[in-house]
Amino acid sequence: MRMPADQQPPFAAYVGIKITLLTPERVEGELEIRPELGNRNGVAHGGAIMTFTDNLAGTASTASLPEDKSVTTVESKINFFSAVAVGEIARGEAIPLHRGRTTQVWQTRITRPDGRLAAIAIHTQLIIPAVPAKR
Amino acid sequence: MAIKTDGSVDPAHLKRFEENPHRFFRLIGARMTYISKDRLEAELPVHEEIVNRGGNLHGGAFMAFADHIGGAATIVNLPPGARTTTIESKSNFFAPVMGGDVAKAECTPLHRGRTTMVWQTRITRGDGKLVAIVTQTQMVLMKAE
Repeated sequence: MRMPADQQPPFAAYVGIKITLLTPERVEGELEIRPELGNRNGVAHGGAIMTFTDNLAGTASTASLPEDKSVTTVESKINFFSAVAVGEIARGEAIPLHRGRTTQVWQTRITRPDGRLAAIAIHTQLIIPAVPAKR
Repeated sequence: MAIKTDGSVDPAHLKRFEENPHRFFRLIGARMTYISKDRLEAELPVHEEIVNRGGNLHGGAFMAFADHIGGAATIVNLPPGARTTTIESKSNFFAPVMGGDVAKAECTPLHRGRTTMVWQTRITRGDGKLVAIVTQTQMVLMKAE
């Protein structure tokens, strides 16, 4: 199994996403809602939560692929149910809904420290030939 | 930074977007270039902190960019005292934006109701190709009586 948890893209590191569990069936992560990730209402910006879910889904789908394959997000849909306050840690859990030869579909649940569901995202990832990392 | 406008938006909103752009919007490096009640435009230079492993604009950065624009477009259409929150968003991605290029977004309304507003944001890259469309639903939160 590949270890994309150790090879996160620059944007994930910039936002501060941490991968805490990486298995073929489930990927978990954490994102501390720092003040710069907040919106004007003092809660996590929707875009920060979307970034978190996109990263977890991308990490999860990449993890079970051979080295010569990669993925790109072709479609994503998110529903928001409750806000995560600035200062709190949002937790994410991604599970596969479909793992085909051409596409993978992952569902990511974001929860707050009190256990309440904050958002659910579903991503469709297209499997493509791996591109060499440009770092 | 001066933002172009057709004069349809509340000057207080324009002043806030110009002088106190949102912290998260600044974090990703985006800037608003045009604002009216019917259309909002913005730019996002693809710098090295917001790319994916392939060196292209990260999908999450696209979504963050569009989400913020849809929120701002809603704010300038709200009745006095009301606020907004994103309740749903859907993105389709068509092509990558390479590092060093500038993504441009244009946001227009699909629906502006009393309870919800639905906005569509088209994102293009430097060569003019359509790279993503984001459709999002904003809930209108009225101040408690």
